Amino acid sequence: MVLEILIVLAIAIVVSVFISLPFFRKNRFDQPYLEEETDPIQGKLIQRLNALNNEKESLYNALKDIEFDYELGKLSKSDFEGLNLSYKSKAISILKEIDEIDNEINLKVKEFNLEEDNINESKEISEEEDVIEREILQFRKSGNTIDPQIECLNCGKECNPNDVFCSKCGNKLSF
Amino acid sequence: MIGTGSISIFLAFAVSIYAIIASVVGARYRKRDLVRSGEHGALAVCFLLIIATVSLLHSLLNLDFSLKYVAMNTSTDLLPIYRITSLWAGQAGSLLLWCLILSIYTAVVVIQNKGQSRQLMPYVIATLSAVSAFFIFLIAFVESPFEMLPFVPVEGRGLNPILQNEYMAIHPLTLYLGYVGVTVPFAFGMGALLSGKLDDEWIRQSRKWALLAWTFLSLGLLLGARWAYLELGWGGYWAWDPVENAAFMPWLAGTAFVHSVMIQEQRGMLKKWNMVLIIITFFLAIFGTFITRSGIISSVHSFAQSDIGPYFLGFIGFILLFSFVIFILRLDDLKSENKFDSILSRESAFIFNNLLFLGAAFTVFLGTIFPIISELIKGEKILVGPPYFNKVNVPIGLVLIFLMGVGPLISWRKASKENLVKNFSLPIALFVLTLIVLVLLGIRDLFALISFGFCAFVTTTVIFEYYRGISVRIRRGDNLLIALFNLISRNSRRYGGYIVHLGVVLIVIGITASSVFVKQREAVLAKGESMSIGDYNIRFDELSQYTTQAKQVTAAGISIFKGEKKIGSMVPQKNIYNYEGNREINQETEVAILSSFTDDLYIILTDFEGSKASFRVIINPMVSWIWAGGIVLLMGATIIMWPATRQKQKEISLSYAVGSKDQTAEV
Repeated sequence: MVLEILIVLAIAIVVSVFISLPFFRKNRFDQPYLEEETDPIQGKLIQRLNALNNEKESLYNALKDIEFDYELGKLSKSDFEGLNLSYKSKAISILKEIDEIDNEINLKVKEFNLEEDNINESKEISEEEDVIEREILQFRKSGNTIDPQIECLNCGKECNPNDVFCSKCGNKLSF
Repeated sequence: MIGTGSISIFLAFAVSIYAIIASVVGARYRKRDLVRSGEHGALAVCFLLIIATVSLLHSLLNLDFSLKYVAMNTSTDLLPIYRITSLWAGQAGSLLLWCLILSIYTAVVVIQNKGQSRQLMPYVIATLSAVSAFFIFLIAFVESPFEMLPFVPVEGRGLNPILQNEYMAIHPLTLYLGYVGVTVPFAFGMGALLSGKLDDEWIRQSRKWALLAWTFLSLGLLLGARWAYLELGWGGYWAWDPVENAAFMPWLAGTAFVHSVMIQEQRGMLKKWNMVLIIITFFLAIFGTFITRSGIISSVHSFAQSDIGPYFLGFIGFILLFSFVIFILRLDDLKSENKFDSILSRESAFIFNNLLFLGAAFTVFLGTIFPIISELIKGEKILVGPPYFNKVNVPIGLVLIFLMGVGPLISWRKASKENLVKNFSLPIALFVLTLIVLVLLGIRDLFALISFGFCAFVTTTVIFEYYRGISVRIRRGDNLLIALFNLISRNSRRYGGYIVHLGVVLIVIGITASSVFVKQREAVLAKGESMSIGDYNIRFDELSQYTTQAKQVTAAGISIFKGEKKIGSMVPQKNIYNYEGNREINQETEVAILSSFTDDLYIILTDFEGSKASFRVIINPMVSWIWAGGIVLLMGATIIMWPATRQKQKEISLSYAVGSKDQTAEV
């Protein structure tokens, strides 16, 4: 009895966890609902492209079928030529449209990539600038002032920039 | 395990409701995580129902009589195999089986379409889950397989003797796989209507699943006919019983659907028609289940009856209303891409095919519900029998056989005179030749002549198609065997379909011969006495009686002669079972059958007294052709459904700027 209760509880927990799993993997589901919604304009292009590809496949199958039917002798020459012409001209216009859409998408991808590169570059620069700014701010808060000194190359003593010789070892100071 | 099973069912109901809500809300508000959670819910329902089924099977195998279902359907003398098959012997268990199969189908749909078709799939899953929820509701709250008895009986009631047969081990299972399978193409149709994604995707998915369901329905119907032939002991295999009709109607509508989808795929036509057809097919499947289970119409099949009729009626009403409302709302989006070019075309042949199948389904439907209508109007149930069904459906069937031959030969769009003469001369010639030969052999029955003639017509077209297809492939360089293999593998839908047609032809030949040329005789024989029927002489040798653990057996030993030569022995039996099973009758007749290619000798021991016994002897010509036809049909369906190898699509290199602005003239 106790064992059965435990089994039932275990089943209920497993089922609940399994159903809730997608909510804990939110980062996987952060993208737009449909791929074509990444960009509304590009999305419509992708939708149209998918529809055209399906139509193209149907036409290829239809062409294959009528060619086979003609070889079987089921279609007369005139019927075959008529259907062949009709299907092929549809296929031509579909292929043409597919090419146009492909080109448009490629162009948009190139623009997008360029933009991305620019954004990334300016992102990198702005990140470095942020670091420098933070350091300057920290320095100002600490109340320190900047006091320029020259280091003696012979003994390492910090000397006044207006001095010509080191006050410790007498070495000539360089700038 | 009873508690586990019972609670699993309740959990499954809750989760299926969640799956509906999550899928619909997720799709509506475009929340991927919610949609995915709905899919997980559908998978979880499958998991829970497997647990429930295993629990019940465990109780059945261990004969746990504390469970009402086990006590009502098993007994201590029941063989283990029949303890398993008793899972679907009664109402609650068979409903659980229905739920399990539907959940498995739903899980397969989820897995196959993971991450794809995000517009369509959530609504498909929601529809499947909604149907699941209804059936799970029935086993959770109305007819639970885990209902306990207030006491534990020492012995169970036993399984109905006529269910203790190997065909009953698989007949309900295959029938359910078909019935339930119809839900999937329906769900794709609903998904398309609800999402507005009414392109070809729903029809492509629907076609595959409809074909699978149709195959199982065909198998289930044939196994049921075989079981009836062996077990019911009246010498026939089909009686237009309401429960037989219940499976036959969705089969008729499903056959129309698998043909008409081809028109939508090839020519972009009949979009509205296909949507209506799949709704009707699903309605007929649910209606069939309602007839079988509600007891509203009496039937030899009425094993499992209870009070679930009103729930089914409510569900059927809801399906019809909901489906047709959204269909009407989407009418404008279901426009055909092409028009009919000619009445002499493959499209027309398919339309006629559809109209005839639906006409047949309607007449069967009318005949099946007539008792209910007569009871409502006149206050008495008037049963409609075989004469009505045969009178209406035989002519329809004959025209359908003819169309089976016409369809493959006629062209799409418009058949020219040249095409008609070239393709139809040989089949028509063989049709006429067959009629002449049969008349010369002495056959005068008009329906038999037309039926055999059309069968010859169809067989010729199939052989002709194969011959031409193989010739083309040989011209392309294949040898004979490779040509045949490539022909079938590269055009599996077409050539697999021809094999299915051939299977149907064999079945029709078997049905025609066994209906028209059946011979029957009854006689009372003393020991040593003989009777003759057709070419057979039958001698009654002895009557023996003995008892087994399960039954008391009376067996008649019979020798069969053709002329002077003994060709075999047969032993028809009459049995009395120790336990009454699920029916009042505890007697069972075991017929004796001697089968051959040409006929079946079918002997029934009807009565006995002292040293005398009464027999009914039937010669059923060519019945074995029906079962052989079923095997051929199954082979053809398997070929059609076999996954295609990735073929290189014929890339047509089309240059749309080949030197002319008018690209159509250029091509």
